[in-house]
Amino acid sequence: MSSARSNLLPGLILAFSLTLTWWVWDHERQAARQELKSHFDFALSEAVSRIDQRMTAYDQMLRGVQGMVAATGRMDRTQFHDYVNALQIDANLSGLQALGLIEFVPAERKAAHLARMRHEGYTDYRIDPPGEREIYTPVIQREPDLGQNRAPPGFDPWSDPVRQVAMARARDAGMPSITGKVRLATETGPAASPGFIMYLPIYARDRPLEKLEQRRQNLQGWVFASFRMKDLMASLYGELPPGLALSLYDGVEADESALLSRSSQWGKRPAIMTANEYLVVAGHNWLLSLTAQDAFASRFGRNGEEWIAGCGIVFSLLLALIAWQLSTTRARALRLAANMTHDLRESEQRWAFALEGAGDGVWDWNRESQQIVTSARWREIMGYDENRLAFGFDEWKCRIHPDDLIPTLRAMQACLEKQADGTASCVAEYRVCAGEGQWKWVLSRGMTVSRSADGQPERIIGTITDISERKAIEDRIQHMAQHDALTDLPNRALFSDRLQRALANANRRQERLSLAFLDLDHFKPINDQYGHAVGDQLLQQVARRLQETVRTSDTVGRIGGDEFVILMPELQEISDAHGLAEKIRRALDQPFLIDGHRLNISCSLGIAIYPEHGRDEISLAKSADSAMYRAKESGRNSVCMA
Amino acid sequence: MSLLLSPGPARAGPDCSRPLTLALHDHGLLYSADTNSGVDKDFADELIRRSGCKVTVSLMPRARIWQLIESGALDFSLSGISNPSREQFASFAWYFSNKYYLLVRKDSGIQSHADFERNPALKLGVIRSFRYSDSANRLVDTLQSANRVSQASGLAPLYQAMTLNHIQGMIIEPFDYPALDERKIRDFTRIIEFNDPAVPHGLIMSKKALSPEEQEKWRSLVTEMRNDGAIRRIFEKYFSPDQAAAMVNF
Repeated sequence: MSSARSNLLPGLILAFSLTLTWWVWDHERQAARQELKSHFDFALSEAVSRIDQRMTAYDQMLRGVQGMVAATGRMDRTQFHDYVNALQIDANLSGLQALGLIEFVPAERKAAHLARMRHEGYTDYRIDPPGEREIYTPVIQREPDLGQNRAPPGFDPWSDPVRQVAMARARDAGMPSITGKVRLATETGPAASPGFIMYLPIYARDRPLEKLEQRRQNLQGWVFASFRMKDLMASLYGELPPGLALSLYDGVEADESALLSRSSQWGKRPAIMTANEYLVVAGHNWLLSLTAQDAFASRFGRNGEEWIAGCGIVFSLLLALIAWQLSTTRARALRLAANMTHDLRESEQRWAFALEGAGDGVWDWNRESQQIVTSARWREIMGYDENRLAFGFDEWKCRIHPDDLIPTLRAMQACLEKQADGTASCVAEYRVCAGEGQWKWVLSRGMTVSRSADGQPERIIGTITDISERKAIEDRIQHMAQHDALTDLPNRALFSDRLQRALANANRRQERLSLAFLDLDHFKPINDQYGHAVGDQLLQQVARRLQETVRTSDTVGRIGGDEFVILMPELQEISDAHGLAEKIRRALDQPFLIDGHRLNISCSLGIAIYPEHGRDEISLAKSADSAMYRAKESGRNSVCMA
Repeated sequence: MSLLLSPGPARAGPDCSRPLTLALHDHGLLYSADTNSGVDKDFADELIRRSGCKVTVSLMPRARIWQLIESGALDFSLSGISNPSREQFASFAWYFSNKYYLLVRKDSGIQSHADFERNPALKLGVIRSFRYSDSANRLVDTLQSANRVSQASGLAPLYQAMTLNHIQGMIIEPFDYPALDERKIRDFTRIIEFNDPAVPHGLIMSKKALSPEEQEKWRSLVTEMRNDGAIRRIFEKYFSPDQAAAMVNF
C-alpha cells in the first residue's frame, strides 16, 4: 500500500469524525443558543409584562378617580384627597410621583375658576403660564400633599405641547393616555429625573360620550398621575437578573435624548444578545431594549459545546491515530513480508545457483501428493525433459537400477524416520537409467523439512549429484587392487577371496573344487634372450590362453612372475580337474608368436582337490604347490595330482 | 369602557347571570383606540346587544388578552385565529377570514418572503402573541430563532419602526391598509402575498370561563349574525362591498 493510500483511511476517519464533531458541536451550540434565547425571550416578555401590568394598575387607579367624579358629578378636592389616602400608595407604586386633578376651564369660565380657587384657600392662585387663551387646563390638586407635590397649583399642562398631545388623545378617545418624556412640574432641581404623565379624561355625568364631539363637549377635566421614571423602574425591577441590562426610550428610537431609564449594567459588558420591543403604553410608544451579557450566558448557558468540541477533536485525533497506526502497521507488515519474500527469493536463487553450479540437482518430494518437484539439473541428471517440473514418485523409482532399488528405498526410509537427535536425513548411491542401456551413478541426499501434526513427514527435499565418474574411478582402483597389472588377471588377494567363497560354497553344497598351481617352463631363458618386453607379452598371451581355455565359472589368477593359479569350482569328478589341467597344458604347449618370434614354452601343473587334498586354502595351496613341483621334477610339461 | 345593556327578550340565549368581560385590541380597522371605533367594536356592540348580557369591554395588548383568556379571567375577545395550543384553552366562533401579507420596504430589494429569510440583515416586526397563516408563521418562527424579530404590543410603533428602517418587514392584514395610506407607508413599501389560504377569524371564548353549552349559545349568536347579514353590514362600513363579501363569505 502506498503512503498516500495508507494515509487515506486515517484522513477520511479524521475528516468524518471532525465533521461529526462539528455537527454535534453545531447542534449543541444551536440548542444552547435556542435555550439561552428562550430564557432571554422570557426575560423580555417578563419585562414587558411587568410594565404592562403596572400601567394597567395605574390605569385602574385613575379610573377609580374617574369613577368617583362620575359618581359625585363634580371634581371635589376633599374627596380626591381622601381617595388618594385610601389608596395607600406604598413602595410598590413608588414610581408614582403624584396623582392630580386638572380642571378644564374655557376662557369664559376663567374668572370664576380663579375666584373659586382663591376662595378655597389658594389666595395667590394663578394659572401658569399666564396669558389669555381659549382654554385653560390648570392643575388644581396634587396628592399626596407632600414634599414637591406641595408646589402651588395652577400649572397649565396644555401649554406644554408634549402634555397637550396626551391630554387631547385621552380626551378624544376617552382612554388613558401618557405623555412623552417630560420634566415634571414638581421637579425643581437641575438634575431632574425624566418622567411622564398619564391622563384620563373626566366627562360630565350622564352625558352621551359615544362620539368624538360629545366627548369634547362634555369634558370636565383630567385626572393624572405623574411618574418619575427612575423610581418607577426601580420599583418594577429592583436589580435585573445578572447579565441583563435594560434601556427604555420614549418613542421608537433608541436615542439618548429619548432615554427614560437605563439599568446600571447597561453597556458595561459586550452584549451577546439584544432585542427591542415596541410597547404601546396608554396610546404612547416606548422602546424597550434588552441586552444579555456574558453573565447571563454563564447563568443559563449549558457550556456543553466546549466539551463537545474538545472531546470530539481529541477523540477524532485519537481515532485517526489508531487508524493510521493500524493501516501503517499492515503496510509495514506487508513491506516486511515483501522484503522477506525478496530475501527468500534471493536466497533461493543463491542456493539454486550454488547447487546448480556445483552440478547438483534439487528435488522436493511431497509425500501426500507423491509428487516430486525438481530442478533443471535434476532433470538433466535423470535424463528427463528439462521443461517438466514435477514427477510422480513411481516414475522416479522406475529409473533406478533394479539392483539398487531396494537399498535405495531402504536408505530413503531413513529420511522418513526421525533419528535420536531429532533430524531425519538419508543418503543413497544408486544407478539410474541414462538411456540406451547406460547407467549413471548418482548420490542422493535428503532431509525431512516438514511434518504433519502427528509427526508424519510431509515434505522431503534433497539433492542428487552425478557420481558416475567417481564411481568409475573407484571401480578402476578396486580393479587395480585386485588384478595383476600385466595380465589383468585376478591377483593373489582377489584370487584368495574367490577361493574362500568357493570353499564356503563347496562346503555348503558338498561339492568338490580344484585348485591348480601352474608354473611356466623355460620362461626365464626367453626373458633373458628376448628381453622383458617380450617376456611380458608372452605372459599376457599365456593369460589370455588360460582364460580362453577355462570355463566361465573358473578363475585364473597370477600369483608370481610366471606362476598362475586356476580355481575350478563345482567339480563333478576329480578327473574333470585333471582333464581341464591337461587341456591347459596342451594349450600352452602351442607356440606363441610375439614380435615375429616363434616362442615355445610349456607348463607344469599341480592339482589339489577339495576336500580330498585339503579343506582350506592353505592346505589346498600347499597340496597343489607340492603337486606342481612334482610335475616339474617329473620333467616339466606335465600335470600332477596331489 | 363598559356597556350595560338591558336584558333582551326571553329566549334560549346565553347565561347572563354574571357580568362578562370582553377585550379589544388596537389593530387598524379592527379597533382604533383613538377613534374608539372599528369592526371589532361594532361586532362587540351587536353581539352584546343580541345576547342581552352585561359585558364589560376593555382595551388590552393582544398578548395580555391571550393570557387572560387562558386563565379564564377574560371571557371573550374578537378576531382571533386558532392554533393547536390555543385550542387547548379557547373556543372560536368564526365570522370572517382573511389572508396575510408581508409588507416590506422597497429599498430592501425583497421580492418574496424567501428573500427576506435569506438576508440576515433584515428584521421583521411582529405583534407579540400574534399568529398568522402557515407560511407566515414559519417565517416568523425562523426569524425569531435567529433573533431577527422585534416584537411590539401594537401596530403603531411597527409602522414607525418601518419608516425609520429599524425593521424592514411586518405582517399585515387587510385591516391595516388604511393605515398604510394614512401614514404614507405605501410610498416606500411593497406587499408580498403568502401562498396560504385565508385564515378564519372569530370570537374567542375562554374554555375555562364558559361551559361548552354556553360556548355553543354564543356560537349560535355569531352564526345568526352571519346569517342575517349583520356581520356583512359591519364590514361594509369599513371595506368596499367586494372586499367585505370576500372576507365574510368563507
